[in-house]
Amino acid sequence: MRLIISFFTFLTIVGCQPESLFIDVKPEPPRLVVSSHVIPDKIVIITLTTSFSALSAKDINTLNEELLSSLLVDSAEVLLTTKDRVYVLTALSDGIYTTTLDEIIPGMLVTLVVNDTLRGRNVTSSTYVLPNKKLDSISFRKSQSSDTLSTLNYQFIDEEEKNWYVIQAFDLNGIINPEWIRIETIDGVPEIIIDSTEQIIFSTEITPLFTDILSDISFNTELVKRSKELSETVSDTLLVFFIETDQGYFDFLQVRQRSGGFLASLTNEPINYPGNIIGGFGYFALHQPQYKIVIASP
Amino acid sequence: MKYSLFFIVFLIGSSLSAQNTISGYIRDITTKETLIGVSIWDEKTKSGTSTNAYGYFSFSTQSDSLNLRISYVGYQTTHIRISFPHPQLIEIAILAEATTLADVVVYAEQHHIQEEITSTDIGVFNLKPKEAYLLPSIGGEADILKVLQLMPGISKGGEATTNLYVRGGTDDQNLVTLDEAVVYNVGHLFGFFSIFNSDAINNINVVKGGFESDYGGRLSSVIDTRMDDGNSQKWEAKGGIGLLTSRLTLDGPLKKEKTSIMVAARRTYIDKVLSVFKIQLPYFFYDFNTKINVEINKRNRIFLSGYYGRDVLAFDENAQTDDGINEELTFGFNLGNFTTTLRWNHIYPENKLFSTITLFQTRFDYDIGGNFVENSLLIRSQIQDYGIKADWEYRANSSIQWKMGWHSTIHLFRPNIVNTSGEIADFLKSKKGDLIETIENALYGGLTFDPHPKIRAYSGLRFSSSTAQGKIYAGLEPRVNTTFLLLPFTSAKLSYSLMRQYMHRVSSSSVALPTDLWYPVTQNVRPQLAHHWSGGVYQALEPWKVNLSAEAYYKKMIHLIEYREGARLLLNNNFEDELVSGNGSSYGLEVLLRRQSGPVTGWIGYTLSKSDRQFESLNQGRRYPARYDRRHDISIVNILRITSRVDLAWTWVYTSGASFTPQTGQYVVPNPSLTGIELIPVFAPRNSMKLSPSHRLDLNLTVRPKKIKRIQGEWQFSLYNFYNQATPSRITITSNGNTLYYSQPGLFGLIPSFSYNFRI
Repeated sequence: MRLIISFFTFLTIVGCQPESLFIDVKPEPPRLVVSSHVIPDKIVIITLTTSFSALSAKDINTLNEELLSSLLVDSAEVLLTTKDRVYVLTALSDGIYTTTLDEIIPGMLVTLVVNDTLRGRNVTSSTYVLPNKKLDSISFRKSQSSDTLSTLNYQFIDEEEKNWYVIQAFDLNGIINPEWIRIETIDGVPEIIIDSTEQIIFSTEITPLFTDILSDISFNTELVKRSKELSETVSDTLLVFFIETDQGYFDFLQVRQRSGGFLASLTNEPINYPGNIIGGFGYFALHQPQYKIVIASP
Repeated sequence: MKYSLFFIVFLIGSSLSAQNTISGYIRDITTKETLIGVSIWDEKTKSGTSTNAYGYFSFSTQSDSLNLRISYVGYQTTHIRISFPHPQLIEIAILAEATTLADVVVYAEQHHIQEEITSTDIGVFNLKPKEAYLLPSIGGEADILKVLQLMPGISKGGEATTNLYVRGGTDDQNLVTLDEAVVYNVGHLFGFFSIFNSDAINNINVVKGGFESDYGGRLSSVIDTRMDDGNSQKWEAKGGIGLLTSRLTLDGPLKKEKTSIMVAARRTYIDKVLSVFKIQLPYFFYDFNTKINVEINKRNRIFLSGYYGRDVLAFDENAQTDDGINEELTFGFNLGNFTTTLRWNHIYPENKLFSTITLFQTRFDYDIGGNFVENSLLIRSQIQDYGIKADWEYRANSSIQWKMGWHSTIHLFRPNIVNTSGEIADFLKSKKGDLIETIENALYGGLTFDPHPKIRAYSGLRFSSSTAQGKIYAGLEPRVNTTFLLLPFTSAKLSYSLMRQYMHRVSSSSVALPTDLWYPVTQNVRPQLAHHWSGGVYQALEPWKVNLSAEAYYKKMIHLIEYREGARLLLNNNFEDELVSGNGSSYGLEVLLRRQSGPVTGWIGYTLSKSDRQFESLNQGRRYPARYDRRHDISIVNILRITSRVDLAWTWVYTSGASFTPQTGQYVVPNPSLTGIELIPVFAPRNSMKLSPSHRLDLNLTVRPKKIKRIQGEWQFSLYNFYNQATPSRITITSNGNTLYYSQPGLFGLIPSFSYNFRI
């Protein structure tokens, strides 16, 4: 009897797993994906990739070099149009197009047109150049014991109109070469200048610490002072990135911030990211970033 | 206005002209429990009535005698001849047709069938929990809510769950009550079992359209559940032993014919069973039902009933680190309902006016928590109601009946209380959880009358309000039902209801969980509204004792609540910020062919329906299908009485797939500082994908051996999902080696089970 009961119990609990049913989900047709950056000396970089099937990679960890290379779009004609001139961007390498603007004035309207002649796709977008906003001051106090946290303090002036900001910090983990650093006095203020920004930015060894996206709706004063607590284990050299951006890109990043992470991807409601690319994905913004190396004060 | 006054005077005059009245309770002859919905038909005047939710009836006539036929499903028809003068307050006891454990030789006389045709009920049906015993079930646990899912117009959620989606509404739009106390969570084990122990339940009345004015507070349905009163004649025990659960019910007289008590308990032992196979699943649920029924005198009765149930998961694991340090991980949840109801029934002199005063409290709460090394986390949410109801029912004669009453409830919400300690407290702060208090009131009145010999009508009005955070929401809710008797066995019915709902439970677009938060109306969250029209044709096919009905409905829903796109559902402090408001509509056709007597009983139900939503801030403002928009739904339920000791039952269901929002694409973008890339998902338009339709055959064999001494036993052998067909519940991206593909996994395959039920 015990055996019979055990047998039935086992069958009841385990049961027969029915075969999953077939489903034909129509793949999202590939579309052009645009991202844009401004680096010093009025250089604009446009990165072009293509969207791909959800069945190509499960998550960021399963993206391999081969797949990534196949996403870069190297057959496009990329044009930037300002009030006075049309710029034809040069393909720097696969998927990366660049040009140097004659001038870069905050508030200047710039229109992007991309024609991917090989695949018959095209996208357009327009944006206004954003101010070259800089942090007023920034300081970093590293924790001296395991009981206290390290602190990054920064401040900047928030202008009267509606503004949106992004600040990111990275732990350089000691990868910085002292030869890349020099100190210059600008307007009477000593500034740390980094000569090999590229080598730092594209390093795989830097560790993201935080990304804060700020809307000035919550600010009470013109001078915005913020303090960020960091783990006591961060190294003594940080890379800080700061931009003033527009509301569209702020919304894009806000969605990213809310949806990022394993738990969020499981529990959050599905959402398609906002964008300003007509016919494609991504975001075209011309914000002028400030990169700063911050060394812990004694 | 002049005509209205004339109409009222006419009605009062009609009531006064009735001369002879007979009133009282109808009871089971063995247990003396009152019976709900018993048909009382006077052969002489060809008029009738039925018992109310407390087994009470009142019947007036101008005739000097009555020739009553009392009929009730599962009971022998009883004939009573009454000549006036006669004592007005009587008790009628009727005998169950079958004295087997199941008590389910369903029986319907011609006039009982006719009662369904002529009443103003539309979209209403009554179910005896005992029917659930004969139908197939998972693990041998009879489940009344799963029987409801087999009726037209009621759709299930995920596979094998007790979620109910009525006429395109959502699960939170069902007013589920247990002895008048609202039940906020109707499922155990994430909804795989209902909280209703079938042994403890006497009756379930389901209203999915044509609402009378005494019901309110939800848009889509009322599921009015009543516990057994208890046997006031003798003590008896009944119960069951299944593979997953066991249950035991004791009921009997504390004072014979005056006071009875019923106590029922149930517990799962899946945790113990699995441990035999070295599988750790430290989960169990249990529940208790109890009811005390005191008959003070012929005119006054008091009931005290209660329910307490919990689901408990208590995972505890000890691990040792490489350094030899013991690390203990505990994780679990504890959730459940607690309801208490105190009721006083009073019959006024002349026996035509019946009142019920009800006090109730209900609570649903959950704790989720865990400890790891020096970190601890506890999340708690709670909703608690205290309410009072005063209802009066006046039966002037067989044509005129009115009801009026007042309901008031205080709702106390305390969502998301968080208590953390250790390192986890750095990023997840403790918080008390704001107490939200709302007061909901309703005044109602309703009149049933016959404006024409071939027309029976119900007209009611409800005024409801809710006060929350200093904001008052209030409004009228008119209700109208009309029945046109076209032929002796054919009628047509029409109804309109306006419903208001002052509290909501919002679930994610992909899955509903018992931990989903109930949330009241606030300054920003408005009450939901529904305009509900329905109409149908009803035909009794008398020679075959079969009822055939076809009902169509249209429901327009306003101020529905959903989570906005990208909403954070986990540990969110600003829950209200994640809600958006919009509208919805649903319409459909329900066909039901039902046979309730003879050796072959059951029904065939078919629903053709469509339900969609439109929210300004969802799906780019475009209309989209509701999550459980199922186009076709077919249920065939058949019970064959092979011999007096053997029944074979089978159910076959076919359901169109639910809607889903799969991820269809993705892209990469560099992050703002160009220090890395990020992977961005692309989703199809909201609910644009349909899961595959599913069908399933379940079988159940009931064998009742001869009584052994005083024990009447019953064996149940069930095969759930006989041909092992997957019922898709979601779309997943699955990895098969290096290849990813979409799949629709089902939850349960073929599950055989058996159970033993008994009554002593």
